[in-house]
Amino acid sequence: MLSAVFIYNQKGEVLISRLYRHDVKRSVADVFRVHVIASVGAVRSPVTTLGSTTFFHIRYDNLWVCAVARHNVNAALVFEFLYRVLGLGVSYFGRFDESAVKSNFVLVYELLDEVLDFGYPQNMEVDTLKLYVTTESVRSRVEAPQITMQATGATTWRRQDIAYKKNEAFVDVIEAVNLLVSAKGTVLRSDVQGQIVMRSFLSGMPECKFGLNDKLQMDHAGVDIADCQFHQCVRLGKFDVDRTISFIPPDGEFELMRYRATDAINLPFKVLPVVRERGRTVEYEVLIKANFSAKLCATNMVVTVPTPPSATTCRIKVTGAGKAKYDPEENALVWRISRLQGLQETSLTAVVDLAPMAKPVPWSRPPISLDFQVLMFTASGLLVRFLKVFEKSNYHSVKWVRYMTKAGSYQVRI
Amino acid sequence: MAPMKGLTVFIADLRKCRSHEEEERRVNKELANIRTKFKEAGLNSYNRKKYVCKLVYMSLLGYDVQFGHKEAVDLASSAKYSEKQIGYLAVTLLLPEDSGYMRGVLAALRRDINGGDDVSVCVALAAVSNVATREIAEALTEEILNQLLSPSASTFVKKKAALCLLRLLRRFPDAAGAHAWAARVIPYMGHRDAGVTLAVTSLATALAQQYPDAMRKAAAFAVRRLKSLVLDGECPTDYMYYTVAAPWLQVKLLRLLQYFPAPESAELRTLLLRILRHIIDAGQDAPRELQQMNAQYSILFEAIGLGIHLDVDQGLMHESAALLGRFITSRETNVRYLGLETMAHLAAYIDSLAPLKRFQGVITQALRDRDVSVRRRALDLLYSMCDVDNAKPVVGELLRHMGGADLALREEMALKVAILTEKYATEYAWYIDVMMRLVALAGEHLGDEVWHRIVQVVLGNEELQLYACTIALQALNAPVCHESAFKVSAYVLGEFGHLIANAPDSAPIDQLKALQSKMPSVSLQARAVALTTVAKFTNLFPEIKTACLRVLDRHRGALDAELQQRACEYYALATVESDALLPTVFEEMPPFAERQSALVSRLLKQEGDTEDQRTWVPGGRDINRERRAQQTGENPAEADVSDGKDGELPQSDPADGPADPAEEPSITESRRHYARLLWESDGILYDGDEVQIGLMAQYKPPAGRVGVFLGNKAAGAIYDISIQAFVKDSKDDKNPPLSVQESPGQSPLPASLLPLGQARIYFDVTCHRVFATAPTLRISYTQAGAPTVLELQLPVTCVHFMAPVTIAVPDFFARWKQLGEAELGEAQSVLKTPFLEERSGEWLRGVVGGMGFALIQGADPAPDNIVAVGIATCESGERFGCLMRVEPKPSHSLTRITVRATNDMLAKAVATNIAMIFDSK
Repeated sequence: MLSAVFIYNQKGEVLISRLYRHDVKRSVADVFRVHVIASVGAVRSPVTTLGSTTFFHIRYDNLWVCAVARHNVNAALVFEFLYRVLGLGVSYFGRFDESAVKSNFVLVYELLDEVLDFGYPQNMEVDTLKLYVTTESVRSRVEAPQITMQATGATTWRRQDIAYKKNEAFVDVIEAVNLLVSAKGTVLRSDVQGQIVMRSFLSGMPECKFGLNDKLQMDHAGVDIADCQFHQCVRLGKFDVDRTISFIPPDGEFELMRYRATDAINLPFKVLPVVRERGRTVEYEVLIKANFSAKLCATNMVVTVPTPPSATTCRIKVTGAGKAKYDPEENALVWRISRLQGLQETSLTAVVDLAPMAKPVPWSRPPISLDFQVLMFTASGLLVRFLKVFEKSNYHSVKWVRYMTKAGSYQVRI
Repeated sequence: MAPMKGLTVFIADLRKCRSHEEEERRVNKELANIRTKFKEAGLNSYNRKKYVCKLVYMSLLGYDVQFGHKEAVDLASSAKYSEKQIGYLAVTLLLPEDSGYMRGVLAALRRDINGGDDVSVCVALAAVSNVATREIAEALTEEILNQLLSPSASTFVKKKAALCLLRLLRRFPDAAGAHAWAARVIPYMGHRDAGVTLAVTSLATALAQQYPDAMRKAAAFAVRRLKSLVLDGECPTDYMYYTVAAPWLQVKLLRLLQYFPAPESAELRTLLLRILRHIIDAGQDAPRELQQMNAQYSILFEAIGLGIHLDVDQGLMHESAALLGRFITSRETNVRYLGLETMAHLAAYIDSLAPLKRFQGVITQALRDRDVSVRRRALDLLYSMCDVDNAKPVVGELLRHMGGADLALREEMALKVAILTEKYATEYAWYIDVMMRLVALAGEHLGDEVWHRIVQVVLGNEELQLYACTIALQALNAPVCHESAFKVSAYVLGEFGHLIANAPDSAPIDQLKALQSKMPSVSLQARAVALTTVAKFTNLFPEIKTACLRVLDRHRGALDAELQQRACEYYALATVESDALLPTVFEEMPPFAERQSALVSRLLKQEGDTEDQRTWVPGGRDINRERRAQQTGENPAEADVSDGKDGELPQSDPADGPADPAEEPSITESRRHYARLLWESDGILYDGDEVQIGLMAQYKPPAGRVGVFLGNKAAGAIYDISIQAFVKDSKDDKNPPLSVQESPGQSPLPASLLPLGQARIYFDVTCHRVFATAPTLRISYTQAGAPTVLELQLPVTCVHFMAPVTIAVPDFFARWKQLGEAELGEAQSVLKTPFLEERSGEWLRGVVGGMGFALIQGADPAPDNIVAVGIATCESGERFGCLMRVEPKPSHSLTRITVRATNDMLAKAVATNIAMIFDSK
């Protein structure tokens, strides 16, 4: 299992070094720094094996988090662990970066001591850990037997004695659309990565049942969702039998499930680009149509239209929503649209002058990419049909559902 | 250069960038800014310089800066020095050689070199050295030379001009036209300024390597200059370096003298000897300071090198040897290195190796030196100083070190051991023992040449074979057998396994078992060799044939194509019901023709020098003698110097051709090759000791293209190559029946061809009418000083312009009869064909097909007979049909050929060609 965990800053200085086993020395931190962090231009695989030591690393903000193993460990497990560590850090310190780590050394070590035991991952539930690894120097509120009960019981993720005055549950459906359209307008790739995040503020030990417009349940009327991954609280057996999602939720925020959809995607935007290279100038005409109901609107849209590397001056005109300008740092025209109502369209025309080149190099014509957010819209067409909460005391609970679609990699070739 | 704030800020910004992406964004932003700025008119001088500097900086960081070249050229063409300086800097760093702006740069350079003040001339000369395109070299050499020769130019311009010429000369030896002016720079070696002398001496050294005859006078200048430096102690104080007078200049002068033979005048020679003696005497006492030591030793080593080269005074050599002996034990790595290197040089020329052998122990020690380059030199030296007397200890020593030597050195070491062992072996057993140990030790660092060579030697020496077999079987039975050892053993046993078949534990089946036991663990290549051995065993030992067949059979399903093919073919051969076939195929290999060992050429090939030519190569006296003879042969003028003659080239111009017709080389020599090429499109036309000539032909009647390939098989390079093809007796003919011309648009033949090199040339041939005489190929070259002319018949006959046509089976004899009645042309001959057997119809058909005929299957009632049709086409559009009937009678060893054509000459030509092919079979 894992022999050590290191956290480096961007320069490769070791911020945190925790050894769990005696088969590695502190000096392996330098090995990783020299071979991975300091090596410029090398292909950076997240898994690096040097000699018989394997390093698994992820980069987050300005940190490198690296796990070291001397055995043939399950790489997926190690990465899940590392991302959980990041999650822990975010929930403890607000953000997880160099300064956060530096100002919370003790806490980070305390957490690392708790989540790994002799290199084997232990309980990593934030809510549980927060019970006894506390940010303030106060005595733990929970008595030892209770922790034992919970850690060894059937629902390790939930305490028994939670009570709220108002019982509420929030469900957020967040979808990222990936799209690649060829220059001729045919869709080369389109899919949706979805995520359902829940925040529960429910008393006692509630049993929840969750219903989606799943095609298999709805007799072909719903959407085809694939690759479902659930939080550990969901009863997988039941899902396998009749595709019902039932669970006892942890308290607070958690990711209930992840899924993917590839068929019948509702593309929120249609992009019609025309790019002509005319000797020393390039002409652009880009038209964007919002392809969703007029009641909804897209916000924070950014359209990046690449320009040739030899661009000098640009004359840009936008008809409709948004403002555009030439951004030399990105070699692109950046067109920002703060708000675009459904079924509306907006267009950009631009003429870019090129500098004379000694030896003209053909332009690689990178794709136009979009970034956006559309609220109350799901690209996959997924809907939450119901969320039922059953509890012994049979209290009344309030449920809220929100939908949001944002851009994954939304690209149109030109 | 005035400080430029914008540039400083920009560089500071880039340095501050934390990540590559950040830096790229900053660069992109700056590039966009510069692009816009350059587009606007009226950029002032300061800004233009600043932006060009920024571009240069970005391009140095590795970003692609494609624009801004025009601005750089503009700056270079400016009249202001500060702009010019930055302009030239940018031009040298940014512009590619084939840039369209080079013309502008050239104009600016010309203006500055001709008309500018000293600083402009210098900056332009520096730019020329850095850019140095062919165009510039051709255009500006004259101007730069004028700067060097002009009496008004200042000394530092002269220095720069000389170095600039040196650079152009090294880059384009042909473009600078140095032959014309080489002699004019010599007087400047006597310039009062030591800096100019130093620069000109460097130039003269480069020139002396190319034009030794033109530079002959330089030797006298060099000697006089040395005299004033060494004997008279005349040296400007600025050039005294730790009490050594101008060491760089001394070294250069001594080096230059090594490219010339010993001076002819007695006065100069004694003077030179005095100088050398003085230097060597001065080297006896060790200097104290490091810098002084470096300077003094560098002069000393060059002086010893020159002494060896002059080869005049054995006393001096022995003294040098003693001195070198002291150096190779020095504590300084550099001194040790140079000592070993110079000693190897000495070993290459000294008459008796005795003074060197005293140090053999020390040199062997140096094989274990901690510095790799010292180890390499020690190896070279040991190789050079090896002779019959000390071969055994030296080889033993090298083998002992082989295991510990680093990988880079091991291959070279192995090669050298192999060469020495072969060269100085006095006992067969010793040779085999050493080689097998070598193969086991050096292992994978051994090229194929080594094991090939062992096999060649074993095949060539009968006395060796029995012992070699014993050792080979031992090697196979050893627990570990290296790949190359396996190959040697397999090969040797396959050839001579029967010699030890009666010895205990060496019965055929034991041999096979030993081979089989190692087969699974070796590479595919080695396994292929082993398969051949097994196949040979089937012939050699009929008693184990079934066991051998089992092995072959098992490999018939091998995954590797080569192995599978071998196994299948051998299996088929071994199972054919013919007593004669197997022994014929697996007959004992004939001894290899004695020629130069591939090992030596391999070793020499490893030498690749980019700078000054070497005056010697490691490897003992013989090689260097040969080398020197070769060089003098290549340029006889140099050898003539001592006789006081003017360097007049002897008559070796191949264009003149041999004057005496009686000396014309015989054509009959390569008849066999010629006959083969009558029906095959490519193959060897001539295979001699020095060259091999191959042919590749492609015909598209009425035209064709014939490629002639000339390969150098000799040990040394060949020069003055010319290849011509022409039709004899038709030189004055206005309208020859066949025209032969060099194909247009091909690169010219190289001036010289290194060993194993190949040159090629293509000829276009067109057939205008049917013709009788084949064209002639004349090849001339000079090898080791001796000009050679080869005249060969080029296998291009009117039959080659024949294309197959098919006609219906019944039509053939109708046409045959028709032609016979018309009596346009018929040729018939009965040829003796003892080689034909029952099953050689396939070969016959191949010959007829290869000559351009279409075989008509089933037209002739007798199944063995062959009938075929072809049509020859001429440039004029005339077409001649040709029918042929071949009736082999293997029982009588006779074959009757009948050819009927619409042209008499064609019919005869076909018959003659077939007769030749049969004749040479």
